[in-house]
Amino acid sequence: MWLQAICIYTVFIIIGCGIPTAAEEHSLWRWTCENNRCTKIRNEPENKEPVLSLEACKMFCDDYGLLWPKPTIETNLGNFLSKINMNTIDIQITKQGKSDDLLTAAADRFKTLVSSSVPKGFSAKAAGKSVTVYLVNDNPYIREFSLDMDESYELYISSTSSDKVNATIRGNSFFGVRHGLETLSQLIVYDDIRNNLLIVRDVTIKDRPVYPYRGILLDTARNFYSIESIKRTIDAMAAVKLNTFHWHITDSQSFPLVLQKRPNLSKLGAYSPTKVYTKQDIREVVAYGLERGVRVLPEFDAPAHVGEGWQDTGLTVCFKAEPWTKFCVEPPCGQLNPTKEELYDYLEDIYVEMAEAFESTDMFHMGGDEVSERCWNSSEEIQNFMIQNRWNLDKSSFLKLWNYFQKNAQDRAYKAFGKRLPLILWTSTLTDYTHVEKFLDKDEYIIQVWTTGADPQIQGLLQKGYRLIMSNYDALYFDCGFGAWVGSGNNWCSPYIGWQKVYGNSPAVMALSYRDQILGGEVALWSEQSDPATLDGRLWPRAAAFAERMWAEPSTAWQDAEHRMLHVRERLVRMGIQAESLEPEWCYQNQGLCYG
Amino acid sequence: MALHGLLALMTTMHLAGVLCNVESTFDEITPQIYEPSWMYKCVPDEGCQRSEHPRPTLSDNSTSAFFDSLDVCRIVCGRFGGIWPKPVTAALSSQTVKIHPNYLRYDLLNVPAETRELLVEMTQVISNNLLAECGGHVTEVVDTQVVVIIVVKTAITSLNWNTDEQYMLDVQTRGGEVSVHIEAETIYGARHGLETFSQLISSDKRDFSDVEHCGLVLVSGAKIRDRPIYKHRGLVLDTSRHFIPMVDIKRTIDGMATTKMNVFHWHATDSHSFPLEASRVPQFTRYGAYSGSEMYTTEEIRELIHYAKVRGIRVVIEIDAPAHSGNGWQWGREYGLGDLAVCVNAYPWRHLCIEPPCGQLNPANPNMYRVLRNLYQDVADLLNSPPLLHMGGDEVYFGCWNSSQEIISYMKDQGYDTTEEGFMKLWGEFHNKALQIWDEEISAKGLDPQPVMLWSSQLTQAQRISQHLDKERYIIEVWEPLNSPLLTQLLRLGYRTVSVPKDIWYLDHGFWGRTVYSNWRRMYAHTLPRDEGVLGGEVAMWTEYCDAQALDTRVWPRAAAVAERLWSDPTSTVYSAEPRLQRLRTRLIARGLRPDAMSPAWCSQHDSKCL
Repeated sequence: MWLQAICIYTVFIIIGCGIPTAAEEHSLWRWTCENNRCTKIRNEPENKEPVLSLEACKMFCDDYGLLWPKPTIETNLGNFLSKINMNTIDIQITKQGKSDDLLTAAADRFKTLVSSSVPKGFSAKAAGKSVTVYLVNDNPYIREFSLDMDESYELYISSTSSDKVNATIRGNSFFGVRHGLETLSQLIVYDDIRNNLLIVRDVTIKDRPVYPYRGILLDTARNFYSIESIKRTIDAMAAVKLNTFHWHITDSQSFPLVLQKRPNLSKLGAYSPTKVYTKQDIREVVAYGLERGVRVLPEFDAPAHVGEGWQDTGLTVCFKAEPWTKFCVEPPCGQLNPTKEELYDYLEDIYVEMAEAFESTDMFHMGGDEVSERCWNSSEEIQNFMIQNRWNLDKSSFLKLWNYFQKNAQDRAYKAFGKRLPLILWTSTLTDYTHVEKFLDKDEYIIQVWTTGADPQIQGLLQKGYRLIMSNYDALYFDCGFGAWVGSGNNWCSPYIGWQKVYGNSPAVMALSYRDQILGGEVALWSEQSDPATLDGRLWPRAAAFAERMWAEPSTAWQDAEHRMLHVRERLVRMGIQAESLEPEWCYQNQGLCYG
Repeated sequence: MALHGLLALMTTMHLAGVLCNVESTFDEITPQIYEPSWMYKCVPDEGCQRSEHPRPTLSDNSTSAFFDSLDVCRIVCGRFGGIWPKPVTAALSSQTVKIHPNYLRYDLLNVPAETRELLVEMTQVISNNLLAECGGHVTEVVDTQVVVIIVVKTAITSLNWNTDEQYMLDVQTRGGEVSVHIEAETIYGARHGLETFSQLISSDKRDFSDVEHCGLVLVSGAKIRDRPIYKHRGLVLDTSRHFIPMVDIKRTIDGMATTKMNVFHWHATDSHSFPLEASRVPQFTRYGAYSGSEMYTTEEIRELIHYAKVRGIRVVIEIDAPAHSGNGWQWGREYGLGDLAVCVNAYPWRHLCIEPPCGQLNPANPNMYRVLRNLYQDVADLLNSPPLLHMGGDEVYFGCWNSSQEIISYMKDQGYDTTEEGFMKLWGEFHNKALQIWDEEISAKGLDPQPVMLWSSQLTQAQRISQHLDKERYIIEVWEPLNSPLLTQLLRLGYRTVSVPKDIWYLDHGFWGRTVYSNWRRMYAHTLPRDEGVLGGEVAMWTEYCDAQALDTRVWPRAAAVAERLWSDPTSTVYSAEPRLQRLRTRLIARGLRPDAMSPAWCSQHDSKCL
């Protein structure tokens, strides 16, 4: 039954391609779809069946073809592949509005993606149908990120004549249309037997994401990353429809952010004079992200996780204190001194310049993790301040002190950004669900969860009405699994998290009935043991597994996604991303025969 | 020179100014000009420490201890400076002298004529590495004459376990001239001396990536006596689970040469794919390569072997057999030769092999041995003399052989039961036949029989090995975990061994199943028995979950930790090695490798503050 259906399919493909004979160019191998798997078989000289390349076979051997992340509303890929000429792709932008420049940039990116679908060492024949892509943006005036922006799109492909294929992408905003272009690029595959580009010919796709916030965090303070490597990351994010680049730009180890008003912070805090980010650098990244539907979200982590850069301000305590294990989680220690009035002027200056640099952001991350009571307690000045306020020196009083800091910082942030934008904080003792409402208003703050996915805090916070972003470390911390850089053994959150676990990490399962309060999730790459040399491998292709979970929240497990996942990895490599390999190439060529 | 630097900065400023005018808000931005950068102080017992401020106020007597560049600080700080692996003895000056490659001259008058050509190639590698310290261009020209006088006592150019690798290196600076003396028994010792010499040199570049200025400084005086503890210091690279392009293999060889490793163990083939071109049997790659572009041509293999030799590295080719053979061997019937291998790509695979795809050579088929002979002939043609072949021999699954009627009837004819011992006999028979073929092919080239390598397995268990494998002929590569007694047992039985404890020295662990990632400290801390029978060790890069994309970060800097263990077998602590390893890491980066990050950059700027 199945086999019969498949035979019909494959015959159609050949007719669709208009390939005269299978023996046009002799290949030793060919692939055929059996039981939803592409099987590698010998291409016997006497073979009369159509000769399919691996990618052509995979396109129709799975309901979702080679799409990643899989569309959520409707996917119909038809049965036909058509040979196309890469040089005759025309993109028409129908509606006019202030996001047209973004759409033009997205169209250029699309063409680049099409050319990168040709594997290294091959070159596609300049023959085949011409392709016209119509981009219909129903709201061409929208170019701002927001948590309720409409990222949905519809994509139709059909062949109008023997030498022409039309594709139409319709969306309610630039962001949706842009996603449609990514999907369209995934419907173009390379036939390495005949050296042709092929497009899926009769397509209807309706798609929208499940979660509005789908991010990657990069820490550029523990080790410095070049602007080029950050852009590369955004490129890969756009390819799998992630939409937030969370920039953990400073920490106690270094302060690479150049501020005009407070130049000493980067002068003293950067690893070197060239390992800095100027306002221009950041704006370049922000613009690059916008063209790719990726918001660049700034984090200024405080009051802990500060140190280098602040040494001459007199505004920190326990900077570089030894033994560090007493005062912080990793060397060098450092925490802001919340009792200093001048501190808040400093913070305002920082926030103002961040608001200027990260011009398109609709949210602000204020950090707020791992504050050490002992560090603050080591300062006589802080102790005196607390006594003057008639606070004890116990745990709850330190929470008051922390809250005092946060309130002041919050006011300055609103002032700096000129609006009461949503603020994000890491989970901490301050955000403990048993008392969080005393300190943080659920309508003002979004909580980013970094404890385990099984932590009762999640349900606790949800019940109190807080909105959450999931970064539970047991599935989404991509720095786990390497040698400890302080102490012995392997790092604290070892072992390494495989893509299967990432894929299975479902916020819906954690949220149960509070699913609407989950804004989405974020993968985190803390950079104690990573720098531009390792960046791609740490993030990819695992972040792609996360992207499908966020976009589609599939009810199926990784096993159903495996073959598409192996392909998205190859795609990333062709785009110039040094993604890790997941399985031997033999498994890629022989679907379903590994790890069964 | 300062003027030059200033001009460069002004040009940058000017450009930035033009860009700034695009939008009015940018006008406020004045490019940050920081000068100088951080300075570094060599603190005894700690290492290099960044100054508290970018421009520390220096008292006259402390000036000399401060360096503008961390890399320069490291080459003079500590007893062994920036040398990796650490030499047996070293006395280094704390002063440096500026040099330029144009004024570096090699004197090869005291080198046997037969070896001179190879040595010239070796010096070229070193010169290129010096240029690489400055990103290819040493802008600061000084005319200090540097003469490297090399003395090599023997004309030996072959590489094996008897190759004498020791060397002496002296550097003296007098009256604006530097004389470097390298003395060694063989050119390979001389090469190691040159490598060490290059590690006495550093770029003085401050961390201004957009500043063109770059000069080289050399430790002005040094007296080094050095030789390796272990003869066999290897790296296994599997190019079958994933194809690894030649350029990436060569870069790996570069890293090995930097750390004085001397054996590239090429696990060239496996059941997954057969990328190694064999001119007598073109079917191997035609049927076995992942694609026409994922194979190594004979010409490329020859070139690689020479490339390695120039870097003091012997290439050992492994043709894993009788298990781990499948794709590449599946064409026998088509050519009227019967099944050359059995259970190739069989599914379900669990009882037939360790991992898919399955495949084992068919020892019942005499044609298999004929094809194997042709393959061995090709390998013998490729390898340098004396050739070293690794015959594999791991993870034979009797279930696979047992699934073949042909093999079962063959066993009956031979009088082997189909019990475990019967299959052991069949397996032992295979290895002895294979060795005989290899011996015949070697002897056809006029060479004496050579030892071959074999992985440890059921067949090499202490109570069994002597019945099947001659200790004079087989060197056993023991990959059992640390808690296994096998290594000690084999030593007691008089076998020569190479040790690769899988739970310590396997680079692929930590990314699959229950395996645990071995960090560099753990790899470094592991010691091997000091025993005549322990030729050395290897670090292993199996590539099920790694291809060229991740190769560098998986292998480096961890392989360097093993390299120092095998070269120096140090008694000092892991922590004391860390500053030198940080220096090695930047050196590898300069030479085009992509080593994994070890710690926040803050830790490398503050030695011993991240313990």
